[in-house]
Amino acid sequence: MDNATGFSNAALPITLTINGAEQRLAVEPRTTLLDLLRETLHLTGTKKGCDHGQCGACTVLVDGQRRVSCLALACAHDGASITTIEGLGTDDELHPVQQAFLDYDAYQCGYCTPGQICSAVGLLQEGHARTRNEIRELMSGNLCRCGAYANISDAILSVLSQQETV
Amino acid sequence: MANANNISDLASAAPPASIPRRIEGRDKVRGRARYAGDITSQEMGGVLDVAVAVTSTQASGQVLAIDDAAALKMPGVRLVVSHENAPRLHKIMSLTGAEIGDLLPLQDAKIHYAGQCLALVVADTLEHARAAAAAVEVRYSAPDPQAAFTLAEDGGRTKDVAKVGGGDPGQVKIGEARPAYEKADFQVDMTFLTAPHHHNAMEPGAVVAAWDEDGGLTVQLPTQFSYGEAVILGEAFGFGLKDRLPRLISQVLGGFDFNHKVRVIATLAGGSFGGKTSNVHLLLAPLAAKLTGRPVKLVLTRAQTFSLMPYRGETQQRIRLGADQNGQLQAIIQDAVLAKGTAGQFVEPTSEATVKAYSSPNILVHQQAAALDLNAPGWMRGPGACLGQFALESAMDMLAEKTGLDPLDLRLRNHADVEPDTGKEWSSKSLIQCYQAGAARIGWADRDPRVASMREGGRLIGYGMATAIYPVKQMPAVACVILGADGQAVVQTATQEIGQGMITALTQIAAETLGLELAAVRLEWGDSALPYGGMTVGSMTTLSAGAAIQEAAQQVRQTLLKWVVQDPASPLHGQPADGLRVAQGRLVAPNGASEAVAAAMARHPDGSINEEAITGRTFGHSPYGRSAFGAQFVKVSVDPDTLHIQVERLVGAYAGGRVINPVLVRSQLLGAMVWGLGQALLEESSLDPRTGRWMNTNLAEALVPTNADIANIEAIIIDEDDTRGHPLGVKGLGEIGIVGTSAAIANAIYHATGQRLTSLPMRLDKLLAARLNA
Ligand code: FES
Ligand code: FES
Repeated sequence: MDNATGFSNAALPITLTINGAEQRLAVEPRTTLLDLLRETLHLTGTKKGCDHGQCGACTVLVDGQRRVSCLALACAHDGASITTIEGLGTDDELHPVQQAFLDYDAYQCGYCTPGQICSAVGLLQEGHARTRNEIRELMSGNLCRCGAYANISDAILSVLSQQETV
Repeated sequence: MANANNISDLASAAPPASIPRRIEGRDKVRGRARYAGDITSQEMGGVLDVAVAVTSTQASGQVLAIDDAAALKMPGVRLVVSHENAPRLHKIMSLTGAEIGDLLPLQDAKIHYAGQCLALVVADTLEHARAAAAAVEVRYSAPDPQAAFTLAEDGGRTKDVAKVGGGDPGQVKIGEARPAYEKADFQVDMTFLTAPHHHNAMEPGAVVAAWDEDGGLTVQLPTQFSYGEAVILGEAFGFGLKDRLPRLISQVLGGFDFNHKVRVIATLAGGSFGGKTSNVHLLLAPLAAKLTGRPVKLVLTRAQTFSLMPYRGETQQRIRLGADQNGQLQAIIQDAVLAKGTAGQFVEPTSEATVKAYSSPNILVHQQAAALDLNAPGWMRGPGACLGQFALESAMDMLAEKTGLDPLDLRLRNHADVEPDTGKEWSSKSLIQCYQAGAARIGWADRDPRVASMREGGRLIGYGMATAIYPVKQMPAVACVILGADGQAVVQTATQEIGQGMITALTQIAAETLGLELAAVRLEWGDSALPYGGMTVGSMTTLSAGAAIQEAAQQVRQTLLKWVVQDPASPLHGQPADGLRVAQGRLVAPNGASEAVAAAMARHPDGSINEEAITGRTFGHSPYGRSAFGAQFVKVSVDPDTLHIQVERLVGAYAGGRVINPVLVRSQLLGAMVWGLGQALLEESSLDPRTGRWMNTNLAEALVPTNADIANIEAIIIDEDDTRGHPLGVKGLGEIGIVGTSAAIANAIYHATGQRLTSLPMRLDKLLAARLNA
């Protein structure tokens, strides 16, 4: 029992598929998906910039859709399939979005980058963005204080046009 | 997949693959790059407690009691540290003027500002620490009714300052500016205000501290000055002289080192922008770890970064310009009032660019500071210069209108052919080329110069421009270069990577000088156990650390060449050493004989060649004036009904000497221009004037530019040879992109609407007010 709130913090059993591997976990009801990934599973590629759903640094793919993991309670996602930055691409074969971020220098400090890349992968799957302006608009949930936006848009646009010509 | 889309925009071509990309880039795009907050218990020998800060809700008065009884009973809680039980710290000196130089944390009950750290809760997990921190109750005495938080209510606190920034003069008097202004044919007199705003790097402040059994201390954190942090820790925790300032000085003077017990490891910074040096959390985590005897990690919440980290403080500037019939400046007068903290020594160097921007026989700068009951402002990207240029370049636009001159023509007429405040010749200056390139790119000559004359699609269109200038400085640095038996080199210098691309640029300098492939050189950086690498500030890293690396690498090369021609086993035996070239890992003689560096080094009797160099002891003192220059040109559109302001195009042209890596430099320039746009239109940390609390302590309300705010933005890099300024030829371009951008936007808004906005950020409520008052 939490003295301050009077709520029970007893751990709940859940199953998550994380980057392809099924994991049985016991999570406190208050634990966010972000803190579960970072603090418990040590998947620290996913970043915390605000913990309030305002910056996008914690973006992961939940059942293929981009989500800010700081606003997702882990226990509410029993059975979900999660892809984090660690699960995209390999050293031998980067995900096309990762490669485009390298080629276009679409990052500087790199702190927003895992979130930007997961968000871009989700965006491409959504299929809504067709123009540079649409990319700008639909990527605006992912802040980049280094101001790499022009290169981020170019990187995503380049992947979009590769897909187009496939 | 999105294959059915019709892609209507083309991506710009990626820069050529021949330009090296960030060496740590793969780690960054794969989520493997490690930041301080990512450090896990596994890496700390299985133990890593988590601390959460409890902060003051009041800006003044005293803490009467900290009731931690409930918190201490909660699961996993190890400790609550407050002034009641914290170890006493020794007074420190902050080389950067940071708040902790005057105010050490958790030492007494006095409250200096809202959001001050009053306690730390340490627990086994983040959830436990956070829950317990919420359960700590603080009782306060009544707040001080005399507390002041804004320049408007300074209550006699405003005082002249002798020094600003890193030691620039607070007062400057060249000629007789007041009478010259009074007599001038054309006069401009305008006051400009700028709001406080925070760095808001995406990575909040974070630190991991661990004490070892022998009383040694290791601290890992993002910082711009690992040696400086080590010295602060050495002083605060009462270590001996070997861990205090003498260590730093002996490194710079003699390049020799002591055994030391404090080690600071600068981690990759997730953005810093001036904000991550000597923060209070540097001391907080070691304080807690000392009491628990276990490693402690402390990561600030976003809200806490507003009061536990610095920001750009509020400023007021009155600018007076006097010009003759030809538009030639006769007087520049700047009167500035700048916010500072009651603790902390930092005062914005708003005059930094003002005294170097234009030729004027008379220049007068009068800077004052008011100590407010807030956490201390500090260094932030483009410090001082971006504020001074907002005011000066807005005033220049007003002068252009008064004199009937094109704003660009006015600037050309006042071009400073020599450094105005010193009279020195410039080492190099390509400002005119920057003006020409930027003007051509935006189509400056094609605009209708009349105010409020242009429209597109129902929106008002305006163009504006401004001059950018950022001084070149060099700091002392020590570098060690070791060429090993395998022909691979290790370069060591304790400088910092804050996203600017230091790792790549410095590795390139070493590889080029040694004649090795980039992959054959590895840079070791950021760790205060390495040779002194200086501060990562003021766009100085590439020049400062680069100069030391270049010199040490040259020595290694010389030593290698001298040895190889004397080695009978080498195909180069007997060749003249100074005739040899080294490139791509091969030694080549003029007659075509050659040998791989690795093959030669495999025979080297010592197994390696080690050289060390110390540079910058004179702080880059030069017979020349040294500055990077640039110009921004902006096109804005304004909705005539809603007054929504959109920057349609932002073009910057810059000349900063030699560019080591154009991909990285372009990114920095674009990033700094994004900062300029944010400063111009969005960024403001709002204060509650009654309580002194920051009110918008989150990223939804403290606006920073998003992707959608950034329209077409371009950075043009002008070739420039600055080898007479420094043999490396580098000036530094990390900050200049923000200097001038806000003025160019203000000038474009004026051109579009006829409304002169003089207060940053220029949000539409201010445009509405200007229109209603017109
Ligand atoms: S950390 Fe989740 S949106 Fe910022
Ligand atoms: S790369 Fe630094 S915040 Fe985006």
